[in-house]
Amino acid sequence: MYEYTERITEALLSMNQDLKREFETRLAETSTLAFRVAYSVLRHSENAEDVAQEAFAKAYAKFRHLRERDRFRAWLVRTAWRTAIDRLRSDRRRTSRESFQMDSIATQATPADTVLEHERATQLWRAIDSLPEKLRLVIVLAGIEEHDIHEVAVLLGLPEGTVKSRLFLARQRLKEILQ
Amino acid sequence: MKPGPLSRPVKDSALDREIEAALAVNPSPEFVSRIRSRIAKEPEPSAWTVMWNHSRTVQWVLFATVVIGVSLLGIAFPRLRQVTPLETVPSPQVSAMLPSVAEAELPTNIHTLPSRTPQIRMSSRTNMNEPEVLISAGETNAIRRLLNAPPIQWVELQTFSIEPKTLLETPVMSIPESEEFRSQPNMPATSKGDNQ
Repeated sequence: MYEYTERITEALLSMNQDLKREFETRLAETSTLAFRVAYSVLRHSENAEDVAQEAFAKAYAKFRHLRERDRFRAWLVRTAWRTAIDRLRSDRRRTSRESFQMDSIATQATPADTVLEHERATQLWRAIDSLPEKLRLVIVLAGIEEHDIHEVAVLLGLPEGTVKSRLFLARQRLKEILQ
Repeated sequence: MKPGPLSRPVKDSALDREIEAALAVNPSPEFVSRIRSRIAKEPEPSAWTVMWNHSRTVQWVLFATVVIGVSLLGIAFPRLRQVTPLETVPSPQVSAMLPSVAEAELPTNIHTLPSRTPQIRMSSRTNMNEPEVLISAGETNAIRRLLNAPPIQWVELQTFSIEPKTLLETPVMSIPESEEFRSQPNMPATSKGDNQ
């Protein structure tokens, strides 16, 4: 009886090892996604990393129920978003947000252009912050890793039509604000 | 929000590009390794926890065992199974009579007020689990006659007095002599002599 129990335990622990390997794969796939989602709320790299780390720790605890790829990504995005909003509310560190880094733009630009682009990016973030949460999440997810409507719908667990209309509305409002 | 000094017409594609550029921020190179070390610090589940988490089959087997055990208890102790809730078995006679009672016309002079609680009335009508009231055939006929009867007309009765009557004399009854009493040795021949 004892040997039998030992064998079952070993088999189950080996299943746990499989789970760990799968989690490693998911982590490699989605670490940047989770970070960017958190960054879109906090706009502070270190805080965003902390939040993403926390989201991954939660995901690891529940990974047995989140083995499916799409399910894991959706759960991670939602958790990172909520955790980041909670962190923002508790810390109130809006003033300490990092200035937006336009590395890709500023490589060959003159200092004057860089200042203008920086100002433009600040305006954009202010406009995004002024959107309702539903619209903000959709426009941010669509902007991360060039997600299309289907991918955003899967991530949020919403019908594609809903995502499409929210995306349209969000763009309209952003254009109104930025013009 | 006030438009800034850098305001300019925005196209969808330009807006998307701007948002993508704004979100094109990468985490530090140590980010993933920090997550790994954080997860490594998480407490490892014990073997029993792992077993319990993975053993949906074991849980189902336990559940099935309990269910089978309870049903076997019922077989082993048939009296337990006989304990059933009270059921009303509708009598065929009553069932046959009930429609005729229901169809009976109510007297026209009965005025019923509209119920203020229709839900309660509906529920009482639809509650089929109430036990049936068994009424004999005679009572059913009597109720039917009462329902079909014309409205009651009150009659004023005249008062009258009853005169007291004289009491009659109580008749004296004589007990006849019996042959059996005579035949017994200890008994006197006649009861008349004793009384005198």
